[in-house]
Amino acid sequence: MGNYILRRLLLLIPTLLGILLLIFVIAYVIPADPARAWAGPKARPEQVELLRQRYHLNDPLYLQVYYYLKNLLHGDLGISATTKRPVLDDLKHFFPATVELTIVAFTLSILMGVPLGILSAVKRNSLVDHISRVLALLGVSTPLFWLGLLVQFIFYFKLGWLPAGGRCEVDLQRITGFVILDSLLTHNMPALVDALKRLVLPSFTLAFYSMGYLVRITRGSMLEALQSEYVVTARAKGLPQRVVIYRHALKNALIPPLTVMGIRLGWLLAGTVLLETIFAWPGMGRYAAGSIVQVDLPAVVGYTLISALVMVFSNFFVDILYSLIDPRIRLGEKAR
Amino acid sequence: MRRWKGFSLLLLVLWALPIFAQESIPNPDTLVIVAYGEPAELDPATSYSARGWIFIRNLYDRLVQYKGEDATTLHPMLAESWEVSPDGLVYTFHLRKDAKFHDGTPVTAQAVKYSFDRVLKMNQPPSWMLSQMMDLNSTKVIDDYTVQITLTKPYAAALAVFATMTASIVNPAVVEAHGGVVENEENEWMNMHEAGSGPFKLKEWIPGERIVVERFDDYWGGKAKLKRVDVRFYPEIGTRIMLLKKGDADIATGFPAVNIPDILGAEGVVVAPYPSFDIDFIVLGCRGALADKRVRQAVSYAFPYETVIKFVYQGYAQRLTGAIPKGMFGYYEIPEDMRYKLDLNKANQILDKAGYTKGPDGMRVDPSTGKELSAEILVPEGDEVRAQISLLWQNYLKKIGFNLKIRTVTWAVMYQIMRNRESDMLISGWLPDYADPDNYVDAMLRSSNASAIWGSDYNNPQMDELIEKAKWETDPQKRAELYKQIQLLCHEDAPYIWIAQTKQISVRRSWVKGYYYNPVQPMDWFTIYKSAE
Repeated sequence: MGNYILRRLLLLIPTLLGILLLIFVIAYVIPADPARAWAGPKARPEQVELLRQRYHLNDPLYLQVYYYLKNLLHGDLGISATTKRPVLDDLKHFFPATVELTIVAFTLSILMGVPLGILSAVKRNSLVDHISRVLALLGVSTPLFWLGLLVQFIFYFKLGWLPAGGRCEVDLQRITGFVILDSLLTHNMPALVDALKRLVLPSFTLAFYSMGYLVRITRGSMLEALQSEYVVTARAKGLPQRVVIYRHALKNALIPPLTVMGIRLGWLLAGTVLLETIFAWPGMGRYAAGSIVQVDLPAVVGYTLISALVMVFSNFFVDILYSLIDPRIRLGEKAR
Repeated sequence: MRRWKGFSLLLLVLWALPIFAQESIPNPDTLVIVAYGEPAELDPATSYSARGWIFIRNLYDRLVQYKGEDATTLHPMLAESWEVSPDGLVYTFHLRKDAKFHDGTPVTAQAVKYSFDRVLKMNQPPSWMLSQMMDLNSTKVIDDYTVQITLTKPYAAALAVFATMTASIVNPAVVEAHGGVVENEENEWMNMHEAGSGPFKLKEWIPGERIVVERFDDYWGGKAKLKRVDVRFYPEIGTRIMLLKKGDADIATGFPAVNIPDILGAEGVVVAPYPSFDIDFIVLGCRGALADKRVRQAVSYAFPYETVIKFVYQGYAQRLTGAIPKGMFGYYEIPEDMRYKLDLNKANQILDKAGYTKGPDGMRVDPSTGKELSAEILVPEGDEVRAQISLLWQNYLKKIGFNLKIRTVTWAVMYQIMRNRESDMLISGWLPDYADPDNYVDAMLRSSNASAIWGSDYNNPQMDELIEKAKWETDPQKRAELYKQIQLLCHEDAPYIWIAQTKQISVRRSWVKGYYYNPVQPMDWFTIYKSAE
């Protein structure tokens, strides 16, 4: 196991290097004039040229990559050309917002998706099954931005129960960047309540979307398990229904949903542009979209590196969970 | 006992009255603005966008300012009075003695010199406004409250430049304590903080969320009526509309004309258009088919000016006949009978006369190259207004046998494509840096800028000469005459299609009072207050 983890971590280096190179090449070949975009359309040529020099835009590609890597070794991700702040500071600021939203949305989606999937499979073709299948279909097929606008319209505009968006509009001393944690640390109850209220709509919207996939996968995988021979055997042995379902079938049926969850987690942590835009959520998606439009290379590379790391680690985490759920899976060992 | 009960009830009502009275206006001392996007920086020497300037306006002071909606006369601000030498070269400013920076130190002549020299040394995008007329030797401190500026050339718009956000006065001690001035470099600290003497001071900036400013109680002009202004960033227009309709926001900015119908008529919401100096235009790149002046004139006659104003801008715009907007010094309106208007017959006549014959498919052919008469226009992605304008024009151009290809690209890519001469046209706009015609004609019609800024091949030496002459002319009458000639020549050359002079649409709650719009200065929070009456 230790060996396996080490190998996976070492594999990270070429993966990240590859991604980094790819972005530089893409940014280099697109016919954009980043300096002009950063300086604004009205800037005079001399000042645009200064920006080009500052960001090494006139240098050949290999030199640009070299400068970047050199700084990266010192933990310096460069300065974003659009926000004018160090990319590392920006990521430290925007990533916690995404993490906070993801944790809530991800937990919600599991709490809704997995039980519904199991119930749907166990009570196949019953009313519960039909309802959960319709819900799953809605979850998968409803466009995220549409659902976001809809819940915002109903719960903010019509009913006035929840705020339209934002993260926390009560004065709060930011310490960790995680608003909920900061409000607890500073004993700021109004900020905590405000932050929690503002989390409801975006996290529900995100969770509903992920829930759809989870219900479908859990249901399918559970149905398959319920028809397998070991379940028939367990039933023949006279085991109670509860034990058959939860101890025998469920454990085996959980592998596919787990895979989906791993991918979903990575996807959620990379941020979602449309949702963050609608709910004015200051997360990674909006940061990335803004940087891409402005061809803000340092920001784009920083964002991509973080997203890649998150993806790799969430898959890694899922692999470890596999081995915990299914003892036959031995990480890092060759098949005997 | 009963009497006591009655008395307590009365007390309760009296106590509760202010609560009920206040309930109609949420947070009466705080102005909540919902904005599309946040600024990249708050440093006057670096910021070159309306998003940053709105904060700089209220955090910093300048030597002179415009008052109210008028953009023609400059009034005292940090300078109580000033004299200009007869040759227009030397400006002597007498500073007021009661102005203080936010740390309590006085605003002095040394600070003025420091601020102007800082802009010149840092050499950031907006610095050309100062460097075109002054250098590091220009500003001299006469005494603590007198400063003398000797221009390198007599620029008639010098005072207007001193009123720009770029010419804001910064606190030298604060800047020096945070990185100082480095040649050709930005100051990272100043991008995120402030060192001003304006009526408001920066409380906090949470990136991606909001910027909050608080009243500066020692302001020389007296205390602002608002205690706090909270600018929140809501990128989605639909959300901004809902917040305003519900009264959770007092002012919403960044309202494209196409979204106005969504908010018109909403209870308690004011939609007020103001005449602005903002103009929209199409850059005709003067190459390919558009190298021929007659083709440019013909396509100018095939543009649906009135339709665009009525339906795309929803009426919130007016006709524009040249580079200089109406209401500005030097404005000259091309006479009605000469003006370009939608006239397909005239457009066809010009092209027929020029020898561009129509083929069997109705499209014209360039006799010199044998190619179809066509051009490509670049439209910025996500800009609904400009996309609609291009589509409308495409339709009319087809009727005169001209094939317009529309290409949608991001801003960053747009300029590079034009600079590389890989496209022919660009649809864009211009907001004033300062109230002077030179700010418009120099940037658009001077051949070097037409090329560097817009990627256009427009080059008329006569035009360059006129612009240079008008720029340094100090006699207003002679200057106005030169701008008239520039506009007539521009009409003849047709290097641009002047789409319209747009109106600034202010969208706010009716309880927001004291609001005014000035076409060259960002929103003034000092005069604003909230009241139900």
